[in-house]
Amino acid sequence: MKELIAGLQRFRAAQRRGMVDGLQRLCNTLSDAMQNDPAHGDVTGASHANYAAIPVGEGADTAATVQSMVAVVEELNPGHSETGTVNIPDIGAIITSATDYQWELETQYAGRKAVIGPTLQGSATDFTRYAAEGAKVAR
Amino acid sequence: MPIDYAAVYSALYTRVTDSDGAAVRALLGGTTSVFPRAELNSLSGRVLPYLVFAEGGVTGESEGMRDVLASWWAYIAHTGNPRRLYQIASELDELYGSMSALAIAGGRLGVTYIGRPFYDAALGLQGLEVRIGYRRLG
Repeated sequence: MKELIAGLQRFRAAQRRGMVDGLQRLCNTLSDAMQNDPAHGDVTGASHANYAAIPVGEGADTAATVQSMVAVVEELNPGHSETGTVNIPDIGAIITSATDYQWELETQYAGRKAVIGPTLQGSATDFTRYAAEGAKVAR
Repeated sequence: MPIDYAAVYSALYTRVTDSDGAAVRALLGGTTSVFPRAELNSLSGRVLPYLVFAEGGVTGESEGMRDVLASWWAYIAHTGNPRRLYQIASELDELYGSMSALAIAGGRLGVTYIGRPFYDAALGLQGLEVRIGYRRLG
């Protein structure tokens, strides 16, 4: 019985790691797409350079990525980095940017320059699918 | 049967411009106050408040799960009362929520998100986004 429980726990842990791996695959695709999104142009290049989708959970967090995003913004457009906090209690992902003018890009001209909003809308169902596929692979 | 996306977008748009959309239009500035985002560059003759329609793309892995996304962006003067934006959002919610479930291409429509008022510095106006979606059923 003890072995059975231990086996189930290992199975569950592998599944959860697989979910994060699945999310990572999707996040890689989304990050690349956002960084090349033509919805808005570049003045400094800071926006496109630091769009990111980041999986969270099972030891994966956003700290290192956000730190490097801030560094990129400060290098390309000094004084315009901004970060916030969001609590993801379990497994999930965030789609973000570290500039202090992203909100304007997302809303100006009826969203014509938006990148994060459309990406989030367009990929909402993909997160569940990629996590599920990742869990299956892990079995 | 494949989804006719152009027809879906057209149905989403004309829902406001046809007779059923009268309650929404009553909150707007005039007959030229509903228009697609492509016309944001030529605002002469547009009377506030107005509604701007933006196609938002298609998502979903299979036709049975496919969503067609769009947004209405409501605008009022930057000094206006944001309450008007919420009134417009409520009427849009009512308008799309009341649409017959199978009215277009075997799917259903609804408001999926109502944003918060914001200041659009580029336009010098207050705005609010109302997202709508169409989902194919089966």
